[in-house]
Amino acid sequence: MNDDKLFLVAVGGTGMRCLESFVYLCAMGMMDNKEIEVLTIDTDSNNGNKERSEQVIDLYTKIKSSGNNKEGRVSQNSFFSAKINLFKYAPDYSQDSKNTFSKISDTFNELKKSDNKLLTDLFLDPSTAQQFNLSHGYRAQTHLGSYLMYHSIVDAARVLKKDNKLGKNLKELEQFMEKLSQVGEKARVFIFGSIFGGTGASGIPVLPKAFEKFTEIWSEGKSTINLSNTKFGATLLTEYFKFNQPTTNTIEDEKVIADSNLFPLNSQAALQFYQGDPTVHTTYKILYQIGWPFNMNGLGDSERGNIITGGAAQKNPAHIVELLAAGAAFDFFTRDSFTGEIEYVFNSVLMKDQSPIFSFADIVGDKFKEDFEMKAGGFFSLAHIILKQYNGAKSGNGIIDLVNKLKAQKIEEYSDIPEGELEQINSFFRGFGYSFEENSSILKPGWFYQVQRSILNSTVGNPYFLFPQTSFPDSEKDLKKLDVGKIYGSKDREWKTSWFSNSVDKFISTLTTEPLVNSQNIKGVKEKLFHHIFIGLKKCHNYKHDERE
Amino acid sequence: MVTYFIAMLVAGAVLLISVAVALIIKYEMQVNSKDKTKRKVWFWVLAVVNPVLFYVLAGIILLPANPRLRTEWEDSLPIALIVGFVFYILLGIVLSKLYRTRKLGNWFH
Repeated sequence: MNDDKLFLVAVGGTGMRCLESFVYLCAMGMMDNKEIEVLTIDTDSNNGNKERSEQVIDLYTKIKSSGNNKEGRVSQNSFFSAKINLFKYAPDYSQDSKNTFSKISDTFNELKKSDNKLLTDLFLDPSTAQQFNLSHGYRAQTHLGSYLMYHSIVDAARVLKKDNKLGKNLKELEQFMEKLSQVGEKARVFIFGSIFGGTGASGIPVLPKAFEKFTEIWSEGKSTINLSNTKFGATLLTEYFKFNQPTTNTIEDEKVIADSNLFPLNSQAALQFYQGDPTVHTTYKILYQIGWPFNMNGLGDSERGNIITGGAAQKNPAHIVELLAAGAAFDFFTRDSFTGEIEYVFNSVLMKDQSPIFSFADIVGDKFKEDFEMKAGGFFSLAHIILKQYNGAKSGNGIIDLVNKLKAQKIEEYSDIPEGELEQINSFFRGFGYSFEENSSILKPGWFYQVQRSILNSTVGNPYFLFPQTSFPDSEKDLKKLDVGKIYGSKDREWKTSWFSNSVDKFISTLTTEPLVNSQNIKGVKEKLFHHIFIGLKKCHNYKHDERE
Repeated sequence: MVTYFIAMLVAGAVLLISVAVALIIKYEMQVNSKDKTKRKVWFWVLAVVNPVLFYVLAGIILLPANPRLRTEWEDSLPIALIVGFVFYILLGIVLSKLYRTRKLGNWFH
């Protein structure tokens, strides 16, 4: 792998969901020895998708932490191997004096009428686009959003230079930008966002330039990001969901509202822009085109026809395209080199009897497909062990009981991990896999199950997502029948059992046979636990293991 | 001396059965799993079977017909029985320490 410093920017609701998928890839161990600086940008600071992604990162960081080291270290050949540093930035449109375009630009002031106002009225409808509440995002008004996004970041630099106290809510943006400007050419910056919506579509075209300008102002010209050398990449994610058409009353109340019927048109216009714009050509190294050609699921409150424009209620289930976007970021970060000119990348998926078949290569490419197969399978197996075998999905102790089992077999190194920290691991896996409400047998799908269902619910026949359908039991009854040693559905990867040894026996035997970690690269008890389990599962699944790793 | 040797052979054979039983008993995952206890119990059950088996073999089946040899043989049986029992336990402790984290480790931990 290269030694460039990695930066990830998630813009808008879709960007946040792609970020969540990327964090789960990190949890599986796909970004060994890597530290990633993550910046979330959303005008809607209470957005449910944003909140969920940040919670996942927060939990990930807590799982990585050990003793006095609150942020953890990078590691390898383990789960949760990457280190993720999160920074948040939300342009502030909450105040009444600054929550519409007209108030921010002060074009409403009759005394300041000028050519600027005439120009503004030409591109932005003075009664709608200039008047809607910006606190829930730019609502697919990309021409407005790009302008405001750029202005917001550049203005942040000016505020920080002028008065540090005023800029205290901008501190995290400053910290992120400081790290970026220190690294310069050795930076790889990947931006998650959609191109059909509001915030993401607004941000992708302007963020590199905005970052460049920020650095110039903030450092007073001493430092700059050279856009031709710093590597930028982004997802061009076209529409993959829809929601009910806004009612007349809603339009009257909100003035401007996103209409999902226009998403294809928005996407088409955006793609044409990215194809032809010279600034894009000189700024970005790779653009990943991701779309969803199958049925689109509806989002929002379909019974009442209310559209969730933003806020905490906008918490939509995960979708396969978000995982594909995360795979795009992985590809960008792991490439050995880039060509001189901008590259447009797309992929296709195998179809069988009109059903898509998603393989490991479809997510991370051919070079890393075996690595992903091993790590995803190991992580998924561990999820079932914690959630099903040790009842972590319901009211059981999950990984706490696994640690106690190892203690009963005289592997006592992990017994010092506080139960509260082990419960955080349970919580993470519930978010990844599934859980049950108290006194309920209805399975609540976590991220991985949601991704699988997004394919099932929008295609016909027998679609396939990495593992056979039997590895995703969705009822308590089917969970009881699940054999954790057979999740791949392939004889080569089945845990070797016999008439006197079943999958459970195989797993514990392997863990107790596996020598404990003495590697100097693995510090911290939790890291040792994950490495131990990782190697144990690797062996159970019959992958070759180099003892020197 | 022959009886001592037979006692150790029988102890070794019974210990092998103990090992097989321990390996056959599968690990259990549920809370309050009993697999560890089962291995321990079987070890001690076979610890009792060991001297019984020795006595049946040495005290009945292999008893010499010659009266003089028979007396010597019978005189050595009690000590040989103890030697066999202790040999079984000691070997069990050694194996349990060697395979501390595995199934055999459950015998003494």
